[in-house]
Order: sequence, then C-alpha cells, then structure tokens
Amino acid sequence: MEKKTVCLPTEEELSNRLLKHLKWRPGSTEVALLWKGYLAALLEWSLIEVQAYDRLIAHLPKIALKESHELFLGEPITPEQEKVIDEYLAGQKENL
Amino acid sequence: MPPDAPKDESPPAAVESPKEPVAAAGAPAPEEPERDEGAEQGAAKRGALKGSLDGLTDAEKEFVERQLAAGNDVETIPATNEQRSADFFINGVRTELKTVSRIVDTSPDGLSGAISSRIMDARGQSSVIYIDARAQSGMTKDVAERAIKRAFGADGRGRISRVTIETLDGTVVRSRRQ
Repeated sequence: MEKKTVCLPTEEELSNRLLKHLKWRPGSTEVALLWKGYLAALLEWSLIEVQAYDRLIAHLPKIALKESHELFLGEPITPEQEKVIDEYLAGQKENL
Repeated sequence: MPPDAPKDESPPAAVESPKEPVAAAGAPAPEEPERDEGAEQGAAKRGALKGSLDGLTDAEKEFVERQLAAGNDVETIPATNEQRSADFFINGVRTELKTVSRIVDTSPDGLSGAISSRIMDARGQSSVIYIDARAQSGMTKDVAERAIKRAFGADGRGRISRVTIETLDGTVVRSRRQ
C-alpha cells in the first residue's frame, strides 16, 4: 500500500489565506461560512489545535453559532442551548 | 494547574511557532503532557480531604480516592438532591465529574459526539470537566481527543477551560487556553 504524505497546515498559512479571502470579498457571508466549516474540520481531525482555531475563527463574524454547534455535536441544538447562544449574542450587541 | 497533577508540578509552558505545523495528525497535542498516574501516585504526597464522602456514589468516591492518591487536595460538596451530582473542588478549582458507560453507538463518531455533548452539558456547572469513560465500551484516547475537539468547537463562548477524559487506553487532558 502506498504511504500517503500529509502536508500539515500551519497557522500562518491558514491565517494568510483566510485574511486574503476576506479582503477579496469583504462582508461575504459565503466566505465566512466556508471558512467556519473548513476550520471546524481541521480542529476535529486534530490538524490544528484549539488555540490556533480560536485565533483563526476570531477573524470571522459571529454568525451561524447554532449551526456550528450542531455541526460539531452531530445533533440538533436544544432549546436550552439555543437560549444560551441567543443571550450571548444579545450581550455582544449591547457591548458594541 | 490541572487538578490531576501533583501540587508541586506545573504544566510546561507551551511554545507555538506559527511557522511550525500546528499539530501532527494523530500525535499528542503539545499543550499538556500525558499523565503517568502510576508514577505520580508513587512520588506525590497524599492530598488532603475536606468534606464528607457520605452520599457520594461509588464512582465519585473512587474519583476522590484517586485524586488524593495523586497528591491533590479534594473538597467534596455532596449533592443536595438526586437530580444533581456532587461538586468537587480539586486544589481549589471547581471540577465537574461525569461518568459515562452506557453510550450505545460505540463508533468513533457516535462516542465522540455523545461525549462532546456531555461535556457541553457539564460546562454549566464548571469550566473544568472530568469525564470518567473507563467503563465505556469502545473508548480510546483517540476518540477522547476527538470528543474534546468537538466540544471545544461547539463551545463558541469559550466557557470550557479544561477537559480530562479517562479511558482504559490512557488519559487525555486538554486546556483551551495556554
């Protein structure tokens, strides 16, 4: 069986690509959602550590938090969890 | 300081260079060492117990005993009703203990998803969570690692600070912040 060579991502290259993409398409929801999914996969499969994930995700708008929660857990969000996220988002708006 | 570590040891400072790969697939994450409980227990002075073991389940009592043997101070606050588990302060840090053993879907996806969900449930009680999954069929360190990553990802508010998952395969400890 042929041995696969894995070229692991670095935080620097991921950050550069993410920031360039956001610059090409400022305010794009599609870009944000694509990168959220992309980074989620890298985290779950241990290709990046959570500290790198947190720094990279901080470049993206706080959208699709409930859907992201469901993606990671593999189950629909509960009403209690949904309430917690709503309260968090309301608090974020108040702080703006 | 992780509650499972002897009091006189601190986790090594993690060094992360952005030019280096963030983590190798399948390799242990760099932020915290894997524990060697046997060595720790042999070297550490026994911790002090504050509070009573009355009302604790067998699993909770065993958890307390292992923490004490590892040199950690434990304070117990028994549950006030049947709906809630007991609270523990390990070296002064509130720690939520969850025991899992009855997850039916024992595929890596099923186990890591179910355990990440338990971690999310536990975060309301404490940001430091300890999962005893030694009795759970199918649990490995790799599955534990994946469960923690899934919980960290779902926890967009960053309320979880540290998760420990104990399996028969070994123990995985991961901190969100360094």
